[in-house]
Amino acid sequence: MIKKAPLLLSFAFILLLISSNGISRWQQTAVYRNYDSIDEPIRNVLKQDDFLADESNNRIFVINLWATWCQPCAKEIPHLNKLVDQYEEDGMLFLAINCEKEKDVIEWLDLQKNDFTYFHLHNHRDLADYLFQLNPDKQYKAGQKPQHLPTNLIIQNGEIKYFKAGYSKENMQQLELAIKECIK
Amino acid sequence: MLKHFLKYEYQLLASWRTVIPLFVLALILLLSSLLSLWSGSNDHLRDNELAKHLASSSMSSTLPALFFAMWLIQMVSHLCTTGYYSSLLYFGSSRARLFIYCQVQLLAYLVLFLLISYIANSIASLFFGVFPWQLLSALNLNSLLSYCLFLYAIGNVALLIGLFKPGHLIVLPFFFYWLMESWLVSLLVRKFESDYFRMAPLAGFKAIVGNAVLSPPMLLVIGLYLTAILFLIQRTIFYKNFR
Repeated sequence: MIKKAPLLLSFAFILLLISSNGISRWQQTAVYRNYDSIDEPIRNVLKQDDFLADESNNRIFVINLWATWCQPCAKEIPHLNKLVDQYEEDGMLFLAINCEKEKDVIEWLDLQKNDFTYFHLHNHRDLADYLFQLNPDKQYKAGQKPQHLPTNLIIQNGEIKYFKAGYSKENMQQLELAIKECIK
Repeated sequence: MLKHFLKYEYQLLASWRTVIPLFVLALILLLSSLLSLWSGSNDHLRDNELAKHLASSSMSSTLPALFFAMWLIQMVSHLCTTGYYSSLLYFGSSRARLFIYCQVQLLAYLVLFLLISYIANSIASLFFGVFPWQLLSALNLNSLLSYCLFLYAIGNVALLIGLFKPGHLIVLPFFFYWLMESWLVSLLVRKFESDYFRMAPLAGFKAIVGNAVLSPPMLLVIGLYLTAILFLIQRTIFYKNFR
């Protein structure tokens, strides 16, 4: 029995490794398993907001995750403003979400050339964390998905239609294409 | 049997000769916790978010495992060269039992390492306004299990090196191999855009705590590596001339 110990130990190790891997896979979807639809937390937050409560029934959400300290996020604002001018219509909501206090964001905006023409939600780290977990790349474990800023995503009828991190002109073009696909 | 093994370990660790390397290990872990907290606070994280960041970064960081392995190599080398294992054999323990004892020893050191790591994280997080219980509540138990499995696998590599070639200088080639393999694997993965290079021995073990969920071939490769290492440890213990 003792002579077979390496085999028994390896067997136990592999069994635990497979279980841990299985739990990781299960945890990937755990983040939205309690909701009827993946956009439910966004709708709930919007319903609680006096100004945005009417927007909670929108069909398509174009979401921009950003921060004031993120330089590429600032570069993205004019491009997103342009997209809002072109594609905003009934049933589509452009929304910027950050984790900072409203006061800090307003102070920062006073120093900027470009102001947003789309709606904001401030101080919503939980919602931002949730949205990062929606990253459709299946290889990442839950809790270890990259949280790069800026990240843009489109949710249409409870389905992720677009998810991309980082600012580049190509990414902006892809976002525009995805918006066009959604409103077809 | 287990009670006896743990009693031996307690007596070994009560000596100041073994406490000094442990203290150095604790200092390294404290420094790495401070760096992780600093990077988290640079990302504007506070309170529970910062605790979550520290908990997840310490459960996925591979660098502390290098120090764990180095500590283990020098500890096993010390026990080999001072005749501790040979005295166990002399007083009637069989070589098969010695293998089990080494595994218990590894598990005891693994628990001790996790405890030191938690203490270091707790002390470091106090400087950033995060309390020790916040670290516990932010901990993902599945990540902890993966981290334990990773440390166990790396610990067995260290055990094999320590038993096969006992000596304090053997830490240096191991350190060099660790760095070279990390560098080569990342270079080859980028150059050939293939994930097969991640199946190198240490890179395979590192994948246990990596961002990606393990694929079936990767699980198989990791299992094979560990089985081979365990058999080599057993073989070394069976045929080694302990002095």
